Amino acid sequence: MKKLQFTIKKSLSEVERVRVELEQFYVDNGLKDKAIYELELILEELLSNIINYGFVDRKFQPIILNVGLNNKNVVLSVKDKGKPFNPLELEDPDVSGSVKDRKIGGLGIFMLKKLSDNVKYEYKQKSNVTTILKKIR
Amino acid sequence: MQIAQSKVNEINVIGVSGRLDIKYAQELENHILDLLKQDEKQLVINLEKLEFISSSGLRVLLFTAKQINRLNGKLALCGLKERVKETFDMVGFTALFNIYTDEKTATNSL
Repeated sequence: MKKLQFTIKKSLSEVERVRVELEQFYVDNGLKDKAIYELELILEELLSNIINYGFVDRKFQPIILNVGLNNKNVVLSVKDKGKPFNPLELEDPDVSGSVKDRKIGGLGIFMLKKLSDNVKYEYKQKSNVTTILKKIR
Repeated sequence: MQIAQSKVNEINVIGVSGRLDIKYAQELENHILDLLKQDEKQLVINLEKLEFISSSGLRVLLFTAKQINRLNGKLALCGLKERVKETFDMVGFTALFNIYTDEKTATNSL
């Protein structure tokens, strides 16, 4: 399995830097456009959630991202010291209502779950560890 | 992301290209809020050059639709690429908006 690790500081440019590097990594390893798009979407939703909400009540600490890739899967593992947040416990939003009824929010984690083949969450050593597996073949 | 703004008759056409993600969503929201403040409430958002949209971008579009509804304005989208369309389908946005293949049809629909 090929592996990469990133340390992400609290800035949106950092999220972009990681995305650009990862995109090249995915392309170099022959991933198809659709898989790359979906992996980028999954990661952006996960990171933006942590950056926007994880540290509202505490000092920001860098997020650690581990990426693993083999012939069949990509595994994204994100570790952050933000407040405990289990994405699996978040209720799915209603995606059928009218403009008036639809709530703004909750779509990111919903898409993350939809696009992942497996989502695992653990809270250990005062950190959220969210691990996502996505099949690429 | 880049925003291209034009006005045809009373209709404002906002072309959004590149990536509508966490980094740029606020910029688009501010642009649209400025238009609404000037009582410009007939909008076409042209997405034919949009390569990527995340929930931050979707949120701006839903917010815009809510504002336009409240103001009795009109809103149409056009030119969704395959990946963007798939994202819309996933979150039920395809049924939420008036979506057209090209800018001319969208403009004529308002």
